[in-house]
Amino acid sequence: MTQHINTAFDDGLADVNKQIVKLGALAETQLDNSITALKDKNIKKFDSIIQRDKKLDELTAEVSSSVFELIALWSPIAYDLRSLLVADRVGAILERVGDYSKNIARRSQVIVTEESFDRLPVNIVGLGEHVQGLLRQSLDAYMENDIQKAMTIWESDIDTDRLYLSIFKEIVSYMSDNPDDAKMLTHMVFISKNLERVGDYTTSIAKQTYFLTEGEYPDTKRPKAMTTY
Amino acid sequence: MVENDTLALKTNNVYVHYGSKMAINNVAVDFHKNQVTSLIGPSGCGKSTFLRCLNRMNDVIDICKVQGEFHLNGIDIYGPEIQVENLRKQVGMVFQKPNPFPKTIYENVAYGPKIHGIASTKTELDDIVKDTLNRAGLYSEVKDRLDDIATGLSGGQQQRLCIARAIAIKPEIILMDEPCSALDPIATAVIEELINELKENYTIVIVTHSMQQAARISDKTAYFHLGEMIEFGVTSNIFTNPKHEMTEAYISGRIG
Amino acid sequence: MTDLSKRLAAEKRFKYIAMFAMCLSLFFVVILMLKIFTTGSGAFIRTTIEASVYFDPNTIEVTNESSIKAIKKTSYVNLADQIVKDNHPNLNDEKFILVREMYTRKFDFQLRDYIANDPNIIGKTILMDITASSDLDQIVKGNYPRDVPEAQRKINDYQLSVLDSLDADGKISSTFNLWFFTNGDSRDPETAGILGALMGSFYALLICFSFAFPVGLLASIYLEEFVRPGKLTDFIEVNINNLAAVPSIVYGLLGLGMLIGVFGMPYQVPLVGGLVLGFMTLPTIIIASRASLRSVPPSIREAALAVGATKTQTVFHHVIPLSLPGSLTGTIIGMAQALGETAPLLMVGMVAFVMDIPGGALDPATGLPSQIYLWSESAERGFLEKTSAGIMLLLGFLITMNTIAVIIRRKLEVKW
Repeated sequence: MTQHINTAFDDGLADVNKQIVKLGALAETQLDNSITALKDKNIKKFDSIIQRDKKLDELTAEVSSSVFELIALWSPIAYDLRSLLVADRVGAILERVGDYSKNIARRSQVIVTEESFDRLPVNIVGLGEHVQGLLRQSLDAYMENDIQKAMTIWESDIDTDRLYLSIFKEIVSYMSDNPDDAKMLTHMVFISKNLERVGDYTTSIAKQTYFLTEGEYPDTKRPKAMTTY
Repeated sequence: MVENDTLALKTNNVYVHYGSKMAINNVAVDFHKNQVTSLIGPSGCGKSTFLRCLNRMNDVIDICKVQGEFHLNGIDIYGPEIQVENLRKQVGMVFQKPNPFPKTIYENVAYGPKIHGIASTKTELDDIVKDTLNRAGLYSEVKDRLDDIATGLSGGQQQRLCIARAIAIKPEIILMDEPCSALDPIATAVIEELINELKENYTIVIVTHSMQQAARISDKTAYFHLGEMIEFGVTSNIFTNPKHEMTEAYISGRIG
Repeated sequence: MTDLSKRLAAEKRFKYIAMFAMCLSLFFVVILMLKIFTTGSGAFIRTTIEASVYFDPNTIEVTNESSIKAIKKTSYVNLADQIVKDNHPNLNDEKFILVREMYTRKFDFQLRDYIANDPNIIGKTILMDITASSDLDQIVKGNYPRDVPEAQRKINDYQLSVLDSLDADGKISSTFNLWFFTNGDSRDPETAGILGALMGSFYALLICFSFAFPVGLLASIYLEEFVRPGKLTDFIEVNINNLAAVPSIVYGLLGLGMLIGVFGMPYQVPLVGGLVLGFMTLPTIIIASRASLRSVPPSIREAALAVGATKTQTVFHHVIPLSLPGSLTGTIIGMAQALGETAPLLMVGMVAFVMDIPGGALDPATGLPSQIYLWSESAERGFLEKTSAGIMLLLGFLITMNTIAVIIRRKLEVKW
C-alpha cells in the first residue's frame, strides 16, 4: 500500500501499529512466563505475571482509544477501515490471552505446592508450548499480512484440540484412581482449558488477518476435532 | 438492494476528443432505472465531459468530437434523426453553480413546460409549477413569493429551484454535475435527501468530488481516471473492498 | 527614507497630481459653462413695450365671423402701423419710421395670432406687451453701450429718448421669451426660435434610432450568437471597429453621394439626415450590443439549452433581455453623439436657413448644431445670445440623454 497523501493519517496508523506490536510482545511474554513458571515451579514468577496483567489491560485500552479516534477523524474506508477494525479486535483478543495467562499463573500457584504434582505425567507444558508457537505464528502472520501463514494456523487448530482432548481424558481417568488429588486435577483441567482457549484465539487472529487482506472471512469451516467430549 | 436492474441508459465504446486531445478513452457504463449512479475521480479525469455527452451538451463545443454508443431506451441519442431539444426533455441537467434564470421563481419552473408545450392552459401550468416545487421540496418555502426574482433565494434554494426546473418537464434521467460543491453542509444534506426521494421517480447520474457524498447517496459508483473508467460497481463494495488498486488509492486518499 | 515611506510619498504625490488634473479640467469646464450661461441666459428674456392696441374693424379686413384660415391669411401690416401711430401721436414720417423700427418687424404676426385666437377681439381695445426690436432689446439688456457716439450705435439719439420716456412711463418690461422655444428661425433675432431646429433634430434622431437600433441589434445578435467565430467574423469585427472611428463628414459624403445622388432622396430633409446619422451610429450600437451580449454568462445559456430550448429560443428568451440594458445604453450614448454632429448634416444640406417648423421627416429642416452654427455666423448682435442659448439647450439634451443612459443601466442591471 502506498502512503496517504495526507501523511498525518499514516502517522496515526503507525502509532496504532506500534501499540499492537508492544501488546503482542507482552501477551507472548506473559504466556511464555506462565508456562515456564509452571514447568520450573517458580513461585515468584507467578506473582509478577499476575501483576503485569494490569499493563496489558492498559495497552489494550490505548489501542482501542487510538482506533476510535482515527475512525472519527479520518472517516477511513476500504483497507484503512478494515485495518483499524482488525487492530481493535486483535487488541481485545490479546487482552483475553493475557487474562488466561494470569489465570494459569493463579492456578499454578496453588497446584505446584502439592506433593503429588510431580508424579503426574500429564503434558500440560507440551500443550502450552504448542499454543505458544501458534500465538507467535499468528501474530507474525498478522504483522506481515501473510494469508498463507494465517490459513495454516486456521487449519492447525485441530491439533490443539487433539492435544487438549488427550490431556482431558488422562486427567479424567487419573481422577477416578486418585480422588484425593481432585482439587489439583481440577485446576489442571482449567489450566489446559485456558491453553486450549488461547489456541482458539490464535485462529481468531488468523481469521482477522485473512479479513484484513481479502475483505471477507474465510469460506472453509474451521476443522475441529470435536464439539465436546 | 439492487434487485430490479432495468436498463435506462447504456453506453459503450465511448471516445471523446477535444481537437487532437483524447478526453474519454473507451468507456462503457450502464445506468439503471431509479438508481443513483455517481461518477467519481480526480480533476480532469473526464467525468464531467462524459456526463455532458449524455444530454449532448458537448454539441455546443465545436472542437469536441463524441464517438460511441449511447442508447436511451434502445435508441441511439446521437442518431441523425434525433432532435436534441427532445433529448434534453428526457435527460435533464443540474449544474455545479446554481444558475436560475434571472426571472421570477414561477417563470423559472414554467419555462420548460411552456416551450415544450406541455401545458395548454394557465391553470395547468400553475398545477405543474406547484407540483414540481413540491417534488423539489421547495414549495413550502416559496409558495407566497412565486413572483419574486429567483436570484434572491439562498444558494441551496436556488439549486433546488434548478432541480425543480429540470424535473418540471418530466425527464427520465437527471444529470447532476457536482450540484453541491457550491453549497454549505446543511444545504448539501437537504439536496442529498432530495436526491434520495427523487430516485423513486427518476434515474440520476451525479458527478461528485466528494467520496463521502458518493458513498452516502449512490447505488452504483464509477471511478474515472485520465479518461478511462477504472472500476464500476455497487457503491458499498467500492467503498469497503474495491477491486482495483487505483480505486483503492483514490478513495483512501493515497498516492498513485 | 525607508522603502515604505518612499512608497507612501510616491502615493501622496500621485494623489495630488491626480487631484490637480481633475481640478484643472473642472476649472475649464466651469469657465466654459459660466461663459455660455451668462451669454445665453439673455436669450430667454425679451423686452416688451406696452401699448394700447385697438383692433380697428375698419383697418382689419376680416370680421369675427371669418374663418380661421381667412384670418391667418390676411395681412395686418396696416393695423400695426396704425397702432404705432396711435401710441406715438404726432410723428412726422421720418420719426415714425424710427419709432416703428423700435417695435419688432413681426408685430403684425403677433396681431394676427391674437385675432386668430379670439376673433371677438375685433373692435376692442386692450393693453398689449409688444416685443421690442432686437436692437432695442440689446440696449435694454445692456449689451449695446449707450455712451458711444451715435454713429457707432444701432439706436440713434431720438430712439433713445423715446425709449427713456417709455421707460419712465413704465411701459418697458422684460418677460420670459417663450418664442425662443416656439418659433422657427427668423432673420430678426428677437423672434428667432429654436423649435424648427429642434424638430429637425428630433425627426433626424427618430429616423436614426428607427434605423440603427434594430439593424444594429440584430446584426450584433447574428454576429455574436449565430456565426461561427473565424476569419470572416474577425474581418467584420475589424471593419466595424474602424467604421466607429471614421470622421462623421465621410458619412455625410456617403449620404450625399449615395442617398441623394444614387437613390434620389430629397435634399435637406431629416429623413436623409437621420439615415446618415444612423449609418454613423450603427458601429457604436453594434459594438456596445456585442459587448453586452458577451457579458451574459454562459451559465444562463447552458441552463436554457439544458431545459431543451433551441438556440434561437435561448438567444431571444434569455440572452437578449439580459443584454438589452447594455445595448440601450450604448444606443443612447451613440445617439447623444449623433445629436451633436454638424458635419454630416452639412453635407446633406440640413444647414440652410429654414423658417418653417418641419411637420415631418420629409420637410426641409435644419438641425440643432447647424442652427447654432448659422446663428454664430450672423452679424447681428442679437444672435450672439441665441447662439449661446442654443448651445445651452444642446448641452442640456446631451447631459439628459447620457443621464438617462446611466439610469437605465443602473436600474436594469442584473445581479448574477
